[in-house]
Amino acid sequence: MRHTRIKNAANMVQVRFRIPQVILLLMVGVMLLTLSCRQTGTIAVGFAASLSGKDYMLGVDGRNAVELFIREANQQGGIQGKQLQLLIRDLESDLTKVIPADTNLQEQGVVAIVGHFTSAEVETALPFINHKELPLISPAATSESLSDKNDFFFRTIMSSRDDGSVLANHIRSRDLQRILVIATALNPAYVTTYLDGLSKELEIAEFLEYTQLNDIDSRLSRITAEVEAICIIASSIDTGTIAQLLRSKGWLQPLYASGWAGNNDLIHYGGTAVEGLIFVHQINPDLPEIREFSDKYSKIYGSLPGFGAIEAWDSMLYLYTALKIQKRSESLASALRRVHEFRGISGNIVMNSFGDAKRQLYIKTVQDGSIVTKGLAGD
Amino acid sequence: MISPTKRAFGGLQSRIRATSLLGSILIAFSVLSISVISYVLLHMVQLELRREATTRNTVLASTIAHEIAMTLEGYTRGLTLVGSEPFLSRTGMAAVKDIYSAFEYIEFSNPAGRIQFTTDSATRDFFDISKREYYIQTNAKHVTYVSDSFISERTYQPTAVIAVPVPGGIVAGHLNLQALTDYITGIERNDFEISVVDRTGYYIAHSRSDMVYRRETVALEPWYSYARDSYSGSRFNRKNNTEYFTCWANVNKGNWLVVINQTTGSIFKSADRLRRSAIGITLVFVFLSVAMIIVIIRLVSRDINALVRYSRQMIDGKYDISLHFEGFADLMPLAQNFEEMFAAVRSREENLLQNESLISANLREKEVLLKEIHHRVKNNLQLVISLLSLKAGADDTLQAQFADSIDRIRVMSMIHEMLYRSEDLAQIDLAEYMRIITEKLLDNFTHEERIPALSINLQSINVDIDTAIPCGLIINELLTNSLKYAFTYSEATKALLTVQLSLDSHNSISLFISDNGPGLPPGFDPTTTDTLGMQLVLSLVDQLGGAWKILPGPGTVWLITFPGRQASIGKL
Repeated sequence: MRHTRIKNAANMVQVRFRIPQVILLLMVGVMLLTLSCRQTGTIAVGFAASLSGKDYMLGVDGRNAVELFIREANQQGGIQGKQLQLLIRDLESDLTKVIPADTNLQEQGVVAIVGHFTSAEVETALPFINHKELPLISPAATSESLSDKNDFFFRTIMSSRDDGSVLANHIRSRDLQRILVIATALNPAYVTTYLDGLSKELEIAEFLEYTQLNDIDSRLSRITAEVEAICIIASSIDTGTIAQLLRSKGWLQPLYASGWAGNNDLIHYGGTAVEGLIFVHQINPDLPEIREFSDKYSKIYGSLPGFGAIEAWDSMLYLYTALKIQKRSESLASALRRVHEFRGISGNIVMNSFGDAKRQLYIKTVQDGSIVTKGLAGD
Repeated sequence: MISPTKRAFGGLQSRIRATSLLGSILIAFSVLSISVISYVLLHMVQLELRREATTRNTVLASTIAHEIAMTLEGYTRGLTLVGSEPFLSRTGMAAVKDIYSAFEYIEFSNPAGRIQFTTDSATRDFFDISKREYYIQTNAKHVTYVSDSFISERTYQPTAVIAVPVPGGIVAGHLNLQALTDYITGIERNDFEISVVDRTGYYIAHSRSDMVYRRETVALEPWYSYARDSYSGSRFNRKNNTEYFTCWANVNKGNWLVVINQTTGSIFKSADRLRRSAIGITLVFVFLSVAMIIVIIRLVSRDINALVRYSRQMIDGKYDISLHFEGFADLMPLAQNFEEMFAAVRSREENLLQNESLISANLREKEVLLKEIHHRVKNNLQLVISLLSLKAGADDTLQAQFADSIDRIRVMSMIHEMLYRSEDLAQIDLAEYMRIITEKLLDNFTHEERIPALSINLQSINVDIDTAIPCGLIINELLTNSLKYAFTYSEATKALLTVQLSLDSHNSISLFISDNGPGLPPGFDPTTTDTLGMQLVLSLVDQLGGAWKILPGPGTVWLITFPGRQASIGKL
């Protein structure tokens, strides 16, 4: 017994100071553990659009919607427990900023870019995104030249070629043949597509392209051809202002416009001059989903969502759907191609194998200071 | 009885060194104390810094808000001028615009919403503005209205419209808000941002102008939902992984908010310095504490080890070493006690050794005396035997009468002889004693016609003299009886005498004596017989506290058992 105790004492002499060392090690361990417990696992999504400059309107609307979407998606748990992280880049309405912005987003590790609201921006970005195999989902680029290509470009809006054709059919159904087209020179891809649709059905008696509104005044006075209708392919503010200008100059022919002008600024800037104006649009604001979204959006941002916001939300929904079904070893582009149809807030959106949307078209008009839907195109 | 809990705790205690435990507790307590004190101190400092930042930033925001409100008021008065007679013309309007240079253009519209004059070259007279929000609001309420901000389609800069009802219509000035950004960027600031947001949350001025051009908004920031409905306030919030302290004040006109954003890092810079210092001091203190505690533990361990070594010397019986303890004062009494204990043990050990030698000498003297007594008793008994033999002389009758008595005296004599020859005077090997008795009897029997064979199986058993003498006499009587009567007849059977002795596990001694003679006469009862030998046997068995039994033959078979008081197994 005595020897055992002495042996124990000897062992204790060997392990002296072990307990303080263990406590210190534990303290250091807890500190390291605390430092290392940082949140990881996010999915970066890029958003690139013109937030400043002449094309800011769609971009700002779209960004607001995308930020709102990301917040809601993250509140619902994100994608398989991973939070979505939004990286925003401003294209400044300058095509030279497109590639640097996309490059920066690609370097930041985004899985896809949502944005590029104009066809010109998309056309600029295409070589880069195809080279990097980085999906680009545009909410509003409608140029026909982007259709049916097996590339990394996707869009949740339909080509505006049909918009032009439908509008032309509508004009012709009212026995109007010769039209004056006033178009902005700042979005040629869109204008060209629209003109393609119009020119197949109607005779374009005059084509007036402008870069500044001040130019229109003098050029109108030089038009000698007889026209039965006027079609404006421009933004809502420009369309409204041009409509006022036309009426003040005594041009009283029926007015038609592109879907681009289809928001409330058309009325704010057009006043009574845009009463009766008809245009073709891919969005029906009477859908319950859009009403619900409008309520939500206006409560936060203090104004109704524009076309850019609605379309951007649907683009994010498309991306979100693909991210949810994406398999472990599958590329996002492949997952996007597997989404053949989804329910957006602007209705059912059917995607073809090239990532182009097929949507319904609505005939709309301005009536008593509001935009109202006359019905589905073709009805 | 130690309870299991106490035993378990005792077991744990036995595995932990008191010094280590004390050191660990001291370190843990020191670190905990410093951490708690640092935390409380830091928290108090942070509260004070926060209070200071709140006051400073809110006052700054309120001052800027007041200035903006005053500027807006001035611009509103300028627009009101347009409604008065001298200025109600395109040139008058242009003069006002020149004075209030932040106006991009001014327009005057009639109650129907048709523009009457405007300083804007792109807008035509009679343009319809009846659908514009600023017209609708001002026309309906007949009060000055400041619109939400928007990006001007001409300058692509943030713009707001101030609409003022005047006699005969509405004067609206399109205010370029770039001036606001210019004003803000002119304010000296070190580590905070100043911005102005409109009622929908868009920046209309910011010390970083790109925030305005990109139409950045605070609508989704959590603090904004509180700020919307309050005149002023403050809140911590997080944006892009950076924590900000946001203070705001409402610009009364226009319902704009002046926002001061400061990173919490810059607010709590001094607290951070304090925290870093506290951590540094804590680490240094912990390091010094650990070092000091380790040194103290080593010193205490050294002292304890010295005492352990000293006590070890005592255990090993080395009493010639003295303890020169120079350790801690609180261990000094223990060391002195050790020393005194050492001296006391040494003194008692010496006394014990002296007593032991005295007792040994005494004992040896007693043993010599006792052996002498046994020797004399044996000599006396031999003398008695000689006297009896002389008395008997040549008379056969007397010889026969004295033979038994002589044998009995010899048996007693033998034991005294064995005792004085033995090393141990207290005990005697009963087996050896029986063998000597047996052999002696057989020697005396050799003159008889028949010599029996002897089967002897004796377990060596040490017994005291009080057991040995009766036992020897019993053996003497029974063997003599067998030698006398069992083998007197000439028979074909070879005579056999069996003697066995054993000690069982219950400390009971069994003595087995048998012959293969004709056996006892029928109806023989040892208790009723008047022969001296038989009476002696029964009396001695009784004296030993034992029992006897005559077992069925052939021959005479005695089994005597008796308790082996103080008996032990002897040499094997």
